Amino acid sequence: MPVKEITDLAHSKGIIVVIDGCQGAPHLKLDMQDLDCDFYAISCHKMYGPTGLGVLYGKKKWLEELPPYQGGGGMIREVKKDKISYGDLPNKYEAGTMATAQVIAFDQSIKFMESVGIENIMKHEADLVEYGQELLQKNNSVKLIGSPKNKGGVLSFTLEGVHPHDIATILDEDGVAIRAGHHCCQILHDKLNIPASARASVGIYNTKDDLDKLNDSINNCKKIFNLK
Amino acid sequence: MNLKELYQEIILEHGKNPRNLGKTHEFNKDAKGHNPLCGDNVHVYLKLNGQKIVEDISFEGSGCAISMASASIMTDLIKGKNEHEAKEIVEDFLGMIKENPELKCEYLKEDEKTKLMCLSGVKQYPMRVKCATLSWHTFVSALDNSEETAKTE
Repeated sequence: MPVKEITDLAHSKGIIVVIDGCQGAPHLKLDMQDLDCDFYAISCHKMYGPTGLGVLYGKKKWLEELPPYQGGGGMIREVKKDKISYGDLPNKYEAGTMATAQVIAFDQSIKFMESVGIENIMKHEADLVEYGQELLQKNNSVKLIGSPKNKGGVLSFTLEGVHPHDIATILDEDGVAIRAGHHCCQILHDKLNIPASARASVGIYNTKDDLDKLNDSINNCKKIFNLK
Repeated sequence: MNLKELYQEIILEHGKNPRNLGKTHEFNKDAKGHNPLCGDNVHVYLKLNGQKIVEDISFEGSGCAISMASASIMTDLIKGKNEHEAKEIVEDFLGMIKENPELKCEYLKEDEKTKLMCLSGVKQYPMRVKCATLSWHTFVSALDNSEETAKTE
């Protein structure tokens, strides 16, 4: 279900909407006014940026209403013996010395993404996922998990006879970096009745050649595990 | 780094057909082990007799080839050893998988050492060390009657 529809539905019941956009922001066109959510969190390292930095967007009315979550330099307006008042937004939430280097780096990341163009990024990733999906579908031992309309830039799969952690190690040796495990959704894995899954994801820097390498390396797993 | 060293035939074979898999009938000690990072679960059952000898040992669980093979080989080697010997073997194994170039324990026969050394390829893959050690930590928990779920950290 698209986030905008979820937001509209929740708002119609008076529910505040907080979106974890860490996975969405690098791959989708974002318009906070259009989405109308109350909060939206992003993780900079997932947007070609530095680690250790994130951004929390929040509607002004909530940010004004909420108390600061931590104290420190720069977030105070006035401190008296019996009362305290906080600085204006965003200072109220930016206690202490900020991660200056990361902030400057992230600014460059956004400029980089804008220079490529989010439409181009989306098209590039959709093309790659479609190519990868076709490729892996032809690979008999591979079982792809999920193929919804408007699929994101990921290919989740299992390989008959090889545990995802063994797949990840072998692929890594072949220079193909994927993730294996529960991917923060253990409940879904229980429902699918699989112990774990392997997941390849694509970004600006990937090419069809990379997906060919992924497929070749999956075949290497089969070879190492003596599978047909 | 060498994948052939990690995935030796004996590892693949034990991974595919683990020995002592299941719940042994008359166990008097058991413990569970869990590795939250990779989702591996293992349950070790053993029967320690009056002479403190591990008369029977088995495990239940699912996981990657390394974790299954390690549990399988462990149960094979531990069966018949007494509590003191078993603990020395565990220490020796954990030392080898992390840093020591070879096994030193006097309670392991040469062919047992050779079998166990098949897991030594794991030390080149730090991410996979916990796969190989979970069942061993769990075995110690069972011996010590630990109520807590065993971890590798």
